Amino acid sequence: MEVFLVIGLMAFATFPIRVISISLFSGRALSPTLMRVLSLVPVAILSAICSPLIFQPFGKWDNPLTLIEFWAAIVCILFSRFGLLPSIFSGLSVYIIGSIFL
Amino acid sequence: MGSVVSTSKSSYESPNSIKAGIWAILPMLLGTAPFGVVFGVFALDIGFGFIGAQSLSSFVFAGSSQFVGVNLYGQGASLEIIFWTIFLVNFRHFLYGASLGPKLLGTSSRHRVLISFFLTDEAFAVVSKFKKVHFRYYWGAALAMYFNWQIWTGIGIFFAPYLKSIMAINFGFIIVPAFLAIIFQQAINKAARFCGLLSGFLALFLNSLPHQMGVIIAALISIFLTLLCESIFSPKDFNKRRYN
Repeated sequence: MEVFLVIGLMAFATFPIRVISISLFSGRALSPTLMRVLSLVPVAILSAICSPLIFQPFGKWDNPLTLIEFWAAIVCILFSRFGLLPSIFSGLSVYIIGSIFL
Repeated sequence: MGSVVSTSKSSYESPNSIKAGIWAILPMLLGTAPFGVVFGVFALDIGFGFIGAQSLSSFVFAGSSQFVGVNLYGQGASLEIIFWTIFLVNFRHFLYGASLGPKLLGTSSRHRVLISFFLTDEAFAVVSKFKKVHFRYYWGAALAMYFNWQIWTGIGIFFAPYLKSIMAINFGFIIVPAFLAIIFQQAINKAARFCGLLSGFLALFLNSLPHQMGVIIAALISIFLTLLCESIFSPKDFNKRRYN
């Protein structure tokens, strides 16, 4: 029973944040400055999520040249000019192959 | 598939089609599959049981928050601690919702409540490149991600005894290539590139903060500094962007 209480609690902790933000900002004419701020949100958030996983995969500073995560990210970035799929598959391939054999 | 996925950088309006949304999120499904499997194994291991583990993915549907919540539960944390930790971990969705809300086309207030349940990092990443988002496109991407997450969680639950041995791999990185590809598609001007680099750099120093607060703080500081730099070093360009 406690398990389902925890599930309900977790749903209650996550759902209102999403509802409130979407509802609050929908259908409103936002100021140009706020629109500019919001336009930078995706790049800022996604970069902040990615960089520790690339440079600190074990939660501490390491020499990036010795990390397979770093090299996979480099390959992924190099292939990004060819589109989303080649970029993702090349990065993942380097990471999985590197993780298995190195 | 390629033509739908590799949308041009100058995309203004998303396609008005569920199918296009599904195609667009397809690479992300691949990236989140291992997470789903690992979560199934993990939740079962902690003691959520078959139904509990699957219910978590079905009714919470919040990726990293699920991992954190289950981990805290396994450590015997109180319900208050679990609630507030999950709340903070998931707080970045406030920024997602704020960014997505003004872009959504043709949605009623009830519809938006439903839409918000399916808002994830991946769905947001896919729709955020557009200035206007048709709800059908969003639903295609969001529901594909939802069912993908359910299926892989289920696989993790059912095959848990056989899968524990492969869990030594660092699954945290699996989604990174997908996010990197999206960052490099979206960072089309100097300001966005500066913002992304700065945010990534700051996140490294804030990584030790609890509840993934480093992500939110790094993003907010970098956005603020980007706008400040724009207004100082290139006010003409800044004003042009603001008012056009």
